[in-house]
Amino acid sequence: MTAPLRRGLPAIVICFLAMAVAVLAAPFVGSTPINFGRVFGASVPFADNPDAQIFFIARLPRALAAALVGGTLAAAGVVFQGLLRNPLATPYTLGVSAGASLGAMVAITFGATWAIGGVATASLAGAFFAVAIVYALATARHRGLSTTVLLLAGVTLNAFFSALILFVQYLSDFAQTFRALRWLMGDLDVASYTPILAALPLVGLSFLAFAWLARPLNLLSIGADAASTRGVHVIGAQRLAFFSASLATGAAVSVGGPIGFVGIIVPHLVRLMVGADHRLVLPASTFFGAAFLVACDAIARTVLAPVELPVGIVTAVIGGPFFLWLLITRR
Amino acid sequence: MLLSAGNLRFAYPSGRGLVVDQVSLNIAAGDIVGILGPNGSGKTTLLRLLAGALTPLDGTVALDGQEIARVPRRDLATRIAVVPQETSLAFDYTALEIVLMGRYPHLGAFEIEGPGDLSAATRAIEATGTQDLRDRGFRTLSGGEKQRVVIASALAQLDRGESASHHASGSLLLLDEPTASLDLRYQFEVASVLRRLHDSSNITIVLSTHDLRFAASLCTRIVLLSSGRILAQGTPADVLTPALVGRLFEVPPELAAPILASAHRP
Repeated sequence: MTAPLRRGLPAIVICFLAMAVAVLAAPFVGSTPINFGRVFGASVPFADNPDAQIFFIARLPRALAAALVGGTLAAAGVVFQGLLRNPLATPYTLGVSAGASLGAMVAITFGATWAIGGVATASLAGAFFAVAIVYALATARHRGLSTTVLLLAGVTLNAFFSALILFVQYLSDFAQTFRALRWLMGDLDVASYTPILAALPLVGLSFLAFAWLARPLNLLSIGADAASTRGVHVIGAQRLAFFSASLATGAAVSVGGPIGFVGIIVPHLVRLMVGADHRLVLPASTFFGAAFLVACDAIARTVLAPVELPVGIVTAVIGGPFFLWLLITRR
Repeated sequence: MLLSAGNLRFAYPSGRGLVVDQVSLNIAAGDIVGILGPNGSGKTTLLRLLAGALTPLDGTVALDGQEIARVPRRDLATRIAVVPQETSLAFDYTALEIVLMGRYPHLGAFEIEGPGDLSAATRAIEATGTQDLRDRGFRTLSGGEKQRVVIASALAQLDRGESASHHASGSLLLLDEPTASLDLRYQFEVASVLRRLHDSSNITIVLSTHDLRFAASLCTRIVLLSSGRILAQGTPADVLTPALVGRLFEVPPELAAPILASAHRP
């Protein structure tokens, strides 16, 4: 008898290769064709080499940002689904993105003169704010985290923050509203490596927690009591899952805006490939989520070229019908 | 005493009043103890207290004389395993994956199941007759099949890999209403699995039930629980009398008598 875990390893390798191919190939796709030989050709200095400039300054950071955001959202989705014992949960279910969006809206409307990165910082602050409120609500009456209260608090906060977002937009002028709308659609036009590097430590920290959480999440999904009598520190694991997945989501949203559907359809597809074990689902979803968002972004940049679509529209157009199909064909 | 509870009292934070009130009981190695009582008498809560899943307001639960609140979580999990009344999954794990989850307390944080864990799982699967279910999705199984797989998971959890008898007599299997949602055939199936387990490994079993026949046919000791208090405890012959059972379920003794007559093992 072989360990079931080993049967999923090929799928992880495939997902990893898909990510690698996507990140390396996507920069060659775009409204301006670039040549592989010239990008890496050493004969022309970088300053006089438009192909290399397009590749390294415009498109590679964007592909890397898509990979980072896609992988992070997919993994955070897996953790939230495991925590809430609900395969329909998304990274945004508990209000993280609503908080992040509100923060970004406030920054765009009232703090437009801030330094570069102000919107990202404000969105991260908004995310933390939302997380703190949801956590306080969920633990107000119990020592542990009640997943039911967590879910209710998150859903309510989502609705409340959406109303505040509309209010802030009502106060903003035309240009600000347009910027805000673009941000809400999800956009990976990072134009430099800085946002990626800024988000990386937060994401890295979260993934350390994810790695440790993989096995407790398996046990949590058969029930809190069952997990606790098998030796899982249930409250500790739930708390760590909630905060690490929220941190990861907040960091991802601060880079690319609230890009939808990645965090739910990727884990679904991955489970069809590798089964339910979180030790397989987490890494496979991370790699596949990265590949998926890089591909979606490549589509967003080219389908109406030279006009670029916000990537959130592409993921929604692909993800919405796909998800409905999943709902109808699977229970 | 393998497991002993002294003056346990418990109330849920949001609930009204004590769910378990002044319960003391002793469980010796090799016992099959049935906690018998009507719905809402506190059976499940008592079982959760005995497993250490709940902390009592008052009183203690001790395993081999050591208070279980002081036993490290993982160590406790290798001695006491719980089979809940129903297990519903959020995701499609296979039966084998569920059984292997029982190995959690035996593995380090990043450790992957090794040959020892797989053979523990194999032994547990054989003991519960679930070989054919191994690679099936847990959610596709029937109620009785699910119950046997979860029992296998509990056995894998208690398996300390010691020579002949892998579930040493120092282990406890706690089952909450193991037959409540099962039809007659599956009730027999689960009962025979438990009896076989007990006979082959001398594992100690504590189960809650409101099924008189099931308790009478399987248990060596019976605890009658009524509104969180112990009404009586002893051997089935001592405790399962028309008068006591009538009081327990709040029915006239003459109604309880014929059920008892058919329930006692010949």
